[in-house]
Amino acid sequence: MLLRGLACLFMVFLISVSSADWLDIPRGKGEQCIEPTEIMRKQHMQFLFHDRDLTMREGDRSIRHSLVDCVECHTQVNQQQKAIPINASGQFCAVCHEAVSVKIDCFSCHANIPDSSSGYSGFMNSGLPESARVLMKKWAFVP
Amino acid sequence: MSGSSENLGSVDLKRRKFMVTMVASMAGAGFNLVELAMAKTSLEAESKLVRWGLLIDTEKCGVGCNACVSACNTEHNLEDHGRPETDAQWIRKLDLVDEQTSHVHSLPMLCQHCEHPPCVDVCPTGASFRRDDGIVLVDKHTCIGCRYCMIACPYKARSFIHENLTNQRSWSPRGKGVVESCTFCTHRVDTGRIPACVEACHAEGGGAMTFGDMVNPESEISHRLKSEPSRQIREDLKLNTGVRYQNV
Amino acid sequence: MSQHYRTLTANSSSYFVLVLALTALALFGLAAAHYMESEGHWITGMNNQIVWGLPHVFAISLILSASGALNVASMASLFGKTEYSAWSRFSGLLAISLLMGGLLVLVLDLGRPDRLIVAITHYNFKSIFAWNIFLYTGFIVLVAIYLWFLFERKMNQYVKVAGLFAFGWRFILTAGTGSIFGFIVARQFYHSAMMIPLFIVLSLSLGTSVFILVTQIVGRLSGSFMKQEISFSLLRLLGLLLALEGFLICAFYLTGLYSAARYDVVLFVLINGGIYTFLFWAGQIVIGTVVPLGLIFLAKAQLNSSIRLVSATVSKMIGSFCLLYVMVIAGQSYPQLMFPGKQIRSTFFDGVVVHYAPSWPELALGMGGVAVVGIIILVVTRVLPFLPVEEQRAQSSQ
Repeated sequence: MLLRGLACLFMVFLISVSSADWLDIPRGKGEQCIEPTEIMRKQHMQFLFHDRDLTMREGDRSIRHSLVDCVECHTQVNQQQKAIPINASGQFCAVCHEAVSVKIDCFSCHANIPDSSSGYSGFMNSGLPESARVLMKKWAFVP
Repeated sequence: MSGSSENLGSVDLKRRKFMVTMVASMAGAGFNLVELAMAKTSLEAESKLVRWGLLIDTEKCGVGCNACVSACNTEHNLEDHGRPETDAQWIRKLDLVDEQTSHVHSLPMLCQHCEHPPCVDVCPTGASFRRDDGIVLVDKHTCIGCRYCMIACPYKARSFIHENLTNQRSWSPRGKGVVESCTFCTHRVDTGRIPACVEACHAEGGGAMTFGDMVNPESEISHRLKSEPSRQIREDLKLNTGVRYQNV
Repeated sequence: MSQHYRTLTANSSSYFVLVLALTALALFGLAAAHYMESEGHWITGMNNQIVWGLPHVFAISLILSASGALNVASMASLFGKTEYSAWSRFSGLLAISLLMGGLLVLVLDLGRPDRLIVAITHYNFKSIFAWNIFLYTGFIVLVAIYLWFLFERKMNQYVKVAGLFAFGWRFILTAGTGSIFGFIVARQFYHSAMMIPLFIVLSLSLGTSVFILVTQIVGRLSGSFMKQEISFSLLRLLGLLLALEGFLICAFYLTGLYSAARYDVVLFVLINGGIYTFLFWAGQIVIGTVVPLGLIFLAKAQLNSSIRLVSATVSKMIGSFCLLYVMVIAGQSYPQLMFPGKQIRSTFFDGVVVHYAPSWPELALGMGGVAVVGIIILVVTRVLPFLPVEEQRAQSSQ
């Protein structure tokens, strides 16, 4: 009950914030987010929760609302072209979350910079090595 | 748009997801087609008809070979903090010395991805769970860090994260205060690749590991499980493990 | 004759010093928990081998004591021992505060104590841990109802019913706590049905000791001592429970020697377990069983009665703490049976006895839990009439 009440209050507040547009939110890459901005502002957590459970519990990797993709598009780089963590002060996540004092719990576990700039071979973006595919065909059920 | 967005409860995320998938598939020309074809949607992903398993021939597993362990540590960025008691190990090498004959042989020990996992039974919040394709995972969003699963695991396969972590891989989120263990590299398996340890075992090691679908009669692992002797560790517990060993 | 009750009206400096000292201890424990949470558990002695350590020994001790502290109330309300009924209220209060202290330690040791809400909203009903969450909260609720019926005259007639529920619940609760260990097939030392009766009897004996000791302390503070004949009849009860506990301990270890899977780890604890062997024989057997039995049944003439009460219960409590320490830690320290007939070597401490050294934050957290119990009792008895009045007259007339 209390939580629901708080969540409602928070939503009302967010709606007022989003219409005010007084926050200096860094722009992401590309023309448009995968959802309209005003929907994203209010519902990003629902999208993320929903798709997170699909991926984690059911192994669905075709999801669209992926935190990895948020980080990919919305991370800024500094003058040395190094990625700034997306939850760092003044960055995409932090601007609103600091303004409304909501703690983000995502990045104690999740990567806060894109694979492309962290120097790891970005797994999801790399094609399948042929050897692995052959082995997989040989050993397993591949659609 | 704003009218529908204020009506928060009515947004049908399932339908939205379906439509989005449709649109994305139609606009697929710009995507990596292989990736898209390999990525499974929730309808076909990890169906009950699949049970991922691993067969390890310990005869081919070299004493002193650590290829699978290093591959796992790199893949998931299991950093060495110089504190062996608390550092996480998802896969580790065991050297078995026979008490009578002193014969030594070696095998990798990892989460056995049981059909009846004790860790899942004891977890108070349901954070430990088993996917329909047999992979046992920890939902780190609901794990409270009680460590009862570590007490209950007969294979000592789980690690608790004892410190703040940084530089996580995007495909392997890890953080302080929760329990974790081998994921059979779900991020690879879900997109049609084999786990990092298996890949490394073939590239650098003795080729002791065979990964595949245990219930698909076409797969090599099910052929071999039918035609060659193999065993589970602690088979007396009747956990029906997904990792099987030969020549132990 | 109607029983009158009073609050703890001690204005002596010792009361305030005690409250202050306990508050400091509790705050220190809280700080230690915060340190553990913000740095991660690597700063403690616990690790991937010894996953449950000193905080869990404290928590289990407190939770078992909580159930046992209700002995006096149960005897008064259910078994017609009216001489105890004046102390029913206090017995209920002690039970609730001990359980709260234990739960606090348990929760603050979690890897993610901030996610307590998850533990309250997500349940896996196959988990004995999940049952215990209900058993613990249910116990607090039932004892609170019992206390309400005791306090509210109109409800006095239902005290027996409430007492019956609380009585039944505490057996399920201690059985549930024993089951946390007893059902673990992976750890040979834990995997025994004896765990359940052992935990039940341990809770009865430990709770009785704590009750006697706390009434002595409160008596010292308020001048409202428990009647000596009641204290001593409780002490004799403790003696019987100790004998029963000793019998169950023998059964636990002998059945262990009988089983091929448990033989090695039982011998380890009994003979070559180093610190655990020492704690077993010196702590659990000598200090925890032989000494209190001697003080209860033999040393009647030689010692001052108050000294006898305190020393017997304190040594019993030390013994029980050693018992639980050996049970919890040695059970994890000894290698798990994975490949019978093989020696195992690895970089993950397979096949070796793992060393565990408790760290100061763990000790501080555990002591903090004990301090919270003390604070609750001292503050609540000061504002609500939990202490029987006539006891004081009886004491002063002696």
